[in-house]
Amino acid sequence: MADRRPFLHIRDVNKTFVIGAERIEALHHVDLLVNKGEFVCLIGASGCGKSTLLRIVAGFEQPTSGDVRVYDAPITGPGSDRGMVFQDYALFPWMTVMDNIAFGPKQKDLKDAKDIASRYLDMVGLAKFADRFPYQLSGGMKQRVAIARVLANEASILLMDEPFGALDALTREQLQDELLEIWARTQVTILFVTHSVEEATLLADRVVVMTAGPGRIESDNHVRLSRPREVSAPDFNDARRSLTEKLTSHLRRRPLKSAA
Amino acid sequence: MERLRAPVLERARALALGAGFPLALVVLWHVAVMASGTRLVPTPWMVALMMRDFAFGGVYDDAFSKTILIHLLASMQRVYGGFFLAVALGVPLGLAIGKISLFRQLLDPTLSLLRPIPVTAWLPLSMVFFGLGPRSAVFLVFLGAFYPVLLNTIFGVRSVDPRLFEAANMLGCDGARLFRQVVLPAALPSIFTGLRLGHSFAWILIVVGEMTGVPTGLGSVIMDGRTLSRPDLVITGMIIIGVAGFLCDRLIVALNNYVLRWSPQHRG
Repeated sequence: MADRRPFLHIRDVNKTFVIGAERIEALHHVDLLVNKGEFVCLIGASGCGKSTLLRIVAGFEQPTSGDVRVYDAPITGPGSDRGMVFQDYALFPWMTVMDNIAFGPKQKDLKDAKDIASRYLDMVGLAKFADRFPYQLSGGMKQRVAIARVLANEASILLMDEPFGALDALTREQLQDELLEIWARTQVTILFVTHSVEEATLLADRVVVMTAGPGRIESDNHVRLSRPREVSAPDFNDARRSLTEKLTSHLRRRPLKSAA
Repeated sequence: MERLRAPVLERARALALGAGFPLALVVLWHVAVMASGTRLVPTPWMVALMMRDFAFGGVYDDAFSKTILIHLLASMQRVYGGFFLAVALGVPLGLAIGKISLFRQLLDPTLSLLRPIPVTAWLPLSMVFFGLGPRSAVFLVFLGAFYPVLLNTIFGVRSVDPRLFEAANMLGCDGARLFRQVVLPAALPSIFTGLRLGHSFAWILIVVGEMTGVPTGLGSVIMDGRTLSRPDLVITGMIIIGVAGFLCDRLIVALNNYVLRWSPQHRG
């Protein structure tokens, strides 16, 4: 039975940071509805508030006004239904790969925490590295552990803050493929922050373009390309170009404004 | 073969330099005493004799013969009594001050005011509180070890990547569990720095602590040596404190290397 209530609902969220005497409006009337199982990319220039929005959904920050709801229940703080994957991994360096992944299940005092962790360790292809410490892993492996860690915690929403931004191009491509596979297998909902149009075009069902000063949603675009997508295909290029235009249109306007 | 031999040679060189330098100092000491003809400073040989007597007797056969274990154990009891008290109080307090702003606001100003007071300045008051005896020594050792442990623990907590706490929160870990499972292990590298510093202060302060009229302990042996004008006894006490402190520091380093095996840059 499908739940008819909206899944992840960001409702008129505003966020103002006060730094000294300065007030910075990071988010301005942001509304976004994400359906269950959808892969949504947030894209925009730095300072557009995309990371702030992600942190509000994670519950790490409170909106100044408005709220975020999952199945109509407002988010009040961090919760295990929403798992954040950080750009710098944020693995617990004193724990082995296995213990990092089992951390969430252990908090719930599950007896089979290790079994759950093993399952997700297999899913990200790191079974052989269970007893390694994070410092013994490459960046790509660390990010796989971070993804397995939130999946093992049974997060239904994956919040990914430029997760592949620090990786080399080859590793990034590999992880993008693996993420799509995991997404298909687990049917999690993904909110993915990136500044790469190509990455967004490759991954997302929807690409939400945000603009800065104050941060707001500029456009919400469905990517109607069949999967698996091929970066070199003509229709992929068309989709990417049209997104790039949406992303840069306001950037080209701005110097004219300031000159006037 | 080349690659195998190199580390062995390197280790031999490190050993030769590390052991050769103090040996050279001892030779220099001997030469200096002989050349100056002073009677105030004993030769290394006289100190060696004194140490033998202190350990096994049979040389002077006086009140200090064969008493090394009594004094060493008495001092170690006070050093580790004070040190473990400092750790037992300093680490939890440091975790709380580092993570909970209420504790920081409540305690930080007071501790900052008390910290600059030299431990030796507490000596008269400590004799009032704890009397003339070992408890006073334990208190001084505690004071000396407490601040390095506390401050390094606070620093350790404050310098943890806040994302680790966020990650723990989102995985359902908070409250007391957060302290045990995340705050404490994350701060461990810095805590170990505090332990090592505090531990060396504890050994430094044992002499001061045992000046307060206790009959046993290496500090009291040194004070006796001074009163009796027996510099060989003074230097014997100094050497034993140095060696005991060094060996115990190696134990802490070994523990450090095991506990922090996840962090190659924190291996001592």
